[in-house]
Amino acid sequence: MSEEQRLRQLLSAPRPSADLERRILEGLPPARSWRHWWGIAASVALMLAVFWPTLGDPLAPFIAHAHAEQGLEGRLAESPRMAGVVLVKHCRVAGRPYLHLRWSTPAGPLDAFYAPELPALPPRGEHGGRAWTVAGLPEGAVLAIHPPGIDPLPWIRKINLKEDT
Amino acid sequence: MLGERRRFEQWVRRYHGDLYRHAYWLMGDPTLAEELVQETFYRAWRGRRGLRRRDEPFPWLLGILRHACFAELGRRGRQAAPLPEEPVEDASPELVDLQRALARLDPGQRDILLLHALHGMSYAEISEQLEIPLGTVMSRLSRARAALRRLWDAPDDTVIPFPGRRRR
Repeated sequence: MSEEQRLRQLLSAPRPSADLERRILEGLPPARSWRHWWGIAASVALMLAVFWPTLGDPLAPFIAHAHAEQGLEGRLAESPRMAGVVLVKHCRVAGRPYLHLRWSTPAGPLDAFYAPELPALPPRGEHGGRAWTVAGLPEGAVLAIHPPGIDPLPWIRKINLKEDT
Repeated sequence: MLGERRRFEQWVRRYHGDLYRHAYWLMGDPTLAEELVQETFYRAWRGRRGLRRRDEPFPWLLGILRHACFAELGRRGRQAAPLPEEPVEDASPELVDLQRALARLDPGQRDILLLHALHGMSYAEISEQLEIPLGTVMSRLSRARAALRRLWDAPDDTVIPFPGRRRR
């Protein structure tokens, strides 16, 4: 037997305890099963279902300002911060007036109802345009939407300047 | 997920013996060797997503084990591991002498001998495992063999210096 063989024979001789394998396996942290991930997915789905009325309605935190001229949709689309929204109908819920609004999304038309206690456009003449109160808008009017806290006047001025030219 | 667990359990069954033997000969302590093997598999399970070659996990597992062994030796001031208390079972007197010689070998030399003689690794595989050039593997292995041969015939108190600490 060569030195190499003797060395290999010696080195291969030690044997671990019979229960080492069991102890190793017991010491491993548990595997996360598909059930675990399905549980997380179900929780997320439940949260989405609960909060969807808020999350799914991008107009909720917005203030609607009205511009009654038809055909402005193309110009409104120029600004990513604004969306062309059509006033579908005036309606009443429990005696209270609401606006039925609809706008286009990649997933299809989206409807929402808003109370018309919204700021009106500035008075006629201040920016050279016509003033409308939201409650008095005709059905089919195109609305422009502004995020809250952002002064809508610059945009209105821009539209009116275009109209003036 | 559960398939991954089953595959890992197969690795435990298949490799725990070889890893134990490496730790045993490196540390010279059967209990400590078992603890280090357990620690190796625990770390491997936690870091299993970092493993690139799932069809050949042994070099990766061995790397984790060796790292743990040398960290433990580092805590002890890199002293040579003590001689195992009992000779291996059914060992002939010749093998007992060899065991004593091996136990007096520096851990670094013992490590490279284990890679070659116990695991049958090629020079290239050892080079990859130790992250050193091929030529260095050959020279270190040669020195380790020569040291073992000298110790085999030498008195019990002979100490062979670690090859990394060259005297100039």
